[in-house]
Amino acid sequence: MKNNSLLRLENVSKQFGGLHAVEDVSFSLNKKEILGLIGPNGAGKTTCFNMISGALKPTTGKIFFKGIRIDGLPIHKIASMGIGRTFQIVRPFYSLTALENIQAALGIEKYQSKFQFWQKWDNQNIKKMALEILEKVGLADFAHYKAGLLPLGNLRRLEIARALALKPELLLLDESFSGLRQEEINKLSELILQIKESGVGILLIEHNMRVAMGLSDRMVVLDHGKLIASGPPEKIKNDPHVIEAYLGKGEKKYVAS
Amino acid sequence: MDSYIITIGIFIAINSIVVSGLNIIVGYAGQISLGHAAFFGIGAYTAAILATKAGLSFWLSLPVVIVITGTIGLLMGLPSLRVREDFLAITTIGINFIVEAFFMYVPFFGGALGIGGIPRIEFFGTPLHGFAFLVLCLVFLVIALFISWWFTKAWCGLACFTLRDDEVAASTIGVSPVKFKLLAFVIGTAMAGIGGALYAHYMRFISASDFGFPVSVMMLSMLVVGGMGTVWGPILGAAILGILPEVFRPLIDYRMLLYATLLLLVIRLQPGGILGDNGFVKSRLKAFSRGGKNEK
Amino acid sequence: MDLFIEQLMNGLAIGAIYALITSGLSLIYGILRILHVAHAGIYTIGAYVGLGVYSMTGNLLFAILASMAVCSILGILVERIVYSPLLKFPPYVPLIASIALLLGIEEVMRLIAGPQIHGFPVSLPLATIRVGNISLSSALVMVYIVSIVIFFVLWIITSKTDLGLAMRAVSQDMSIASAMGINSRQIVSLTFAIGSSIAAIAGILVGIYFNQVYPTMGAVPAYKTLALIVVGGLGSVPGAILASLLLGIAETLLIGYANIPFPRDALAFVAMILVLMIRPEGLLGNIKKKI
Repeated sequence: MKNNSLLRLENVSKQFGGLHAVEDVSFSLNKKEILGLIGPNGAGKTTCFNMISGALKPTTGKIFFKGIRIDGLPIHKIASMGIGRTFQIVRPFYSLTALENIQAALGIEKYQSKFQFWQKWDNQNIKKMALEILEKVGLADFAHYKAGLLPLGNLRRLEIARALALKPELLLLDESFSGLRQEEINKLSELILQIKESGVGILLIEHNMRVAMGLSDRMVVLDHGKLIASGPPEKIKNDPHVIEAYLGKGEKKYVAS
Repeated sequence: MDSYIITIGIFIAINSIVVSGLNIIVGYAGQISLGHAAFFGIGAYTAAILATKAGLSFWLSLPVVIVITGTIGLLMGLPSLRVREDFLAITTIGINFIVEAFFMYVPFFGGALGIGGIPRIEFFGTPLHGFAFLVLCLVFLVIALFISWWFTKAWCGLACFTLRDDEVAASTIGVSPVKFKLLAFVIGTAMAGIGGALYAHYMRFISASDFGFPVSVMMLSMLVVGGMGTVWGPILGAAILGILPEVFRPLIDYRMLLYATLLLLVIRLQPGGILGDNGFVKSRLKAFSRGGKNEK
Repeated sequence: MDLFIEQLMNGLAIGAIYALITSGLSLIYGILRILHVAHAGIYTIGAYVGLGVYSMTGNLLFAILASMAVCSILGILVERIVYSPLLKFPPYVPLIASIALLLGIEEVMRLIAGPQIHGFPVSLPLATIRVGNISLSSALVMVYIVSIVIFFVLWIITSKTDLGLAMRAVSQDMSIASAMGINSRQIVSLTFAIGSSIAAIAGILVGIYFNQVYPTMGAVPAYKTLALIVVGGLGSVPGAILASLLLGIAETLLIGYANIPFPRDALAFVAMILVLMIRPEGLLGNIKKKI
């Protein structure tokens, strides 16, 4: 049971007052794998994310990353262990340029050290690394634009680039496709597959069922905080519990497609 | 040089040092502080007490001043971990009033009479006054500017910028809000302490009202007028708000009104400060360089 | 014991005056999230206009109404000209503008009316009340009556009228309220008008109660009331009123009885820091923590 999976949730629950946002959820994620986390609105997906990334502490249950227990650690500790995340509502550093957003993330090790944070960040080496990452997500042309001036599609890429700059082993993507046009979706899907091929494990929250089905190797479905199904996309597609959960919310068209 | 001009120069230099410290807290790390004069005062009182009661020279007391103001600054930074924005603004106002009351009502600090008889700073046996004291202040100003500039180029500065923009996002790239906010508070308040020590030895008499809340407002105004988050903004702001009242001196009765009106006009028309992103200096430069792409 | 009760009644009156200033401030904070320090400047102007009109006409009611009208207009102008364009900037920007405005108002009043303290001699149509050995002066009685009336009217406006509903909607989310067809600009102006006219009344009451009107009479209340709206819970008017009454009583009793060499004016801030440590949302506040 104590296998070498990258991320493992064991019987995790989260209560807000009397409300069970997440109830007794367990799943695991391996390296070089995309796990889709889906479910109707309010199913507890983002709460799960916030517990993994450290923004929330589970009420009960354990979360392991590379075999080390991480639940309850502060956000920056978890980030420094190799977990990068994006936000459903983008949160770039608005007053910095796109390039500086990435440069800031490249300092992750310096921030943890005792004194190295006094060193200079503004050097050619860091700049080159940051530009390479921007290039990878296709934002090199916008390197010197203030992040606050970029359109949403670019900001979603910028957030992924910022997470990549942490050299993460696990990437948490929170609805990175929402609000994007079809061509942008295609480009971003390609990028995510590339990232996976480089050996990163990816946990993906996605509303657009077609995108989620296309990208995920395996899927986990939450409804009212409970895990109701898990398995490969083809199995999920025909799972009666899943269809019922979505039908109940009137989202039949997504399931059918 | 005219001693009147030297005096104004000394005040501008000391204010520039103190406001540079405030800039690190507010401009770089984004933690509003309306109680900076309290730390200016803690520095001044520490130096004054060490000089008059323990007979320590300025040079020997300086490290103590830095340690004491920095440590109290660390404690006062703790509320910033718990409350933010409006709450933090009001909390720091409160801290200023309480610290001032402390100086005023505790007999050890001279009470309402303040502390007098503070000796001049000596440099290899020569007491410094007039132009020599101005030079000393400028040396400290250069050091303060260097720290400010280095902060913008060092990882810790970048960490503070990310905290200023978005604390949660900053945490997800490994920035500990506790560590870097407190770092900004310690460095910023220690700089205020150094300014305070210089002030005490220059005035040679200090009292609680020198460090009241209106002084904090003036410091924040200097920062805002000059340009928050820029290296040179504090000096520009300290110079403008330091020279203006002197220019208005002939209109002595209207001085404060003109000062208030100008402050209101600047903040209303250039809310980012004169050296800030949308300030008129940058937009003029942009018009000349037409390299719009880099500064978009 | 009689002295204690008299002290208590005096403290309550001071608290009621604080509450009058603070309720307007809290109302304005609730709707615009602005620390309107210059509110104390409006209060100062209110006292001067009241005094000026009273000494010309000899009619107190008329003086109060004139002062309310002038202050409402000033409040609306301040919001339109100074605050409204600064709302998109970080909160310290309107705060500094507000402080500059307060300084400017103090200077203008000093230049117009002089730096000296003016008395506010009013013969009130109210008798001094005596119960046993306790006597309550007519000024004290007036403070009680006026503040009870004002708080009652304020309560009616905020909780029983459409205007109050609209104010609550705007304070929740201005853009959604606008989308629902509420004229947000108008509601904000009305809020400033209401808050400022209460401040005008407070100015006149203070002038009569202490028989003093002077340019910097707003300097101490300006910041003390900020502490009070934190203690009450930012944006909660009942909380602000409760905190003000408690502070008025505490200050008066502290001076009358405790022999602590501690300045009265710092008490509000000590209370505020204690409240922030123990109950950061304030006495009656209810602020949602954001993740």
